[in-house]
Amino acid sequence: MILRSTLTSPYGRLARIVRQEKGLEGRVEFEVVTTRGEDNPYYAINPSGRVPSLILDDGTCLEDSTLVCWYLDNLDGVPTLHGLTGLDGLEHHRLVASARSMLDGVSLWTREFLYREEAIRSQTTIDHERGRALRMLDMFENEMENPVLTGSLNMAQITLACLFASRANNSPDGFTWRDGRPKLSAWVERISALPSVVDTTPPSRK
Amino acid sequence: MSPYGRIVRIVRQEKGLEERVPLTVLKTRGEENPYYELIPSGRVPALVLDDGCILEESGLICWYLDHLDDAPTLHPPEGLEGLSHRRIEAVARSMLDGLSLWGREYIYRDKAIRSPMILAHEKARAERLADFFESEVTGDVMSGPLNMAQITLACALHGRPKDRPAGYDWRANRPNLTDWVERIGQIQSVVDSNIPAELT
Repeated sequence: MILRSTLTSPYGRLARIVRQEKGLEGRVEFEVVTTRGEDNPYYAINPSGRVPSLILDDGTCLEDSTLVCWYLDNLDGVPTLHGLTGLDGLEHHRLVASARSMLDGVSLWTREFLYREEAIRSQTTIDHERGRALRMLDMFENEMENPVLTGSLNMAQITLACLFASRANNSPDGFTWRDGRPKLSAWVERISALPSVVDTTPPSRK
Repeated sequence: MSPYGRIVRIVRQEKGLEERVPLTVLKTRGEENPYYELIPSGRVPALVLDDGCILEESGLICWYLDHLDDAPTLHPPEGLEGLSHRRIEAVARSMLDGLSLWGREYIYRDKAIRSPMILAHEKARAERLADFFESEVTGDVMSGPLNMAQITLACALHGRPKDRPAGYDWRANRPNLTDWVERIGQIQSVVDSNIPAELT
């Protein structure tokens, strides 16, 4: 099996952390790819061109970090990272959804800078995403004592780790996530010490 | 209505939950939108449970609504048995996300700040994924009983005006996909969710 991702995608990082946490490095190779570009050979592997993707032993391609993480966690028949089954898992799933929502928003905000020269940036988009991110920071600061976030490792915690671990304060510009959020800051310090989080730090931040 | 809201609306109707789950139409965006008090992310759809708990993300909300009666019919079984459904639903969602991003390059931006690179990138992606579904719609997941993969693809393509976004002609040389979208468009919940909610 082959997991493919860029080294900078937080979505790819989710899958890479799960792969490591589940001890699957021997069974699942990791290959770095690039996305974008017109004739990228990666599109023949995964038509959407997205990362992460997982090629199974039978050649089937899975995409979407949610699915890839779920699959890797279920491979040994004992999923440990996806919360309780059925509606008992709702609180975990609620926090995963909100963490992903925040990650999506911050990613969109970041891409306004990453993939666009200054002349074609949208201040509306930047303001909108910054507003969203700041509101959600307050929400998560208040969730830091939730057992889902203080208990054993799960996808909610991994998602927040991919959002915050090794993120400089004020990146993107205006995202001063540490300021006035002591519980979140302390929580991120702790989770940042996990080997799987350390090992998947994007290159520019090392 | 956003296609993500439409997915939820279809599930709500398919599960006969219209009375139990009232629908409110909202505006997103804007600086001091009171909606943000309820839902910090400001996203729709959102589901407020009887105990005040708030769920966001169409995937989670649909899962919840489908499991409410303890007899989920639209979601794959637990465990690896459900893999092919999950796989195809993920691609349908990927397609919907790409089309939404592409569309937003027009909806929320003046021409002067559109990115030709992004337009080209999303168009190429949307074409590859339409090719993927041209073969996939005859497979088991997409041709069996209604499920989340089918609902997601329906919301990506059904009711989409021609040339929206500009240059996207997903029907061209894709007879299976064209046919499939036409047939799914006859399902009542798909029809009803195509009408703006505020007009129903």
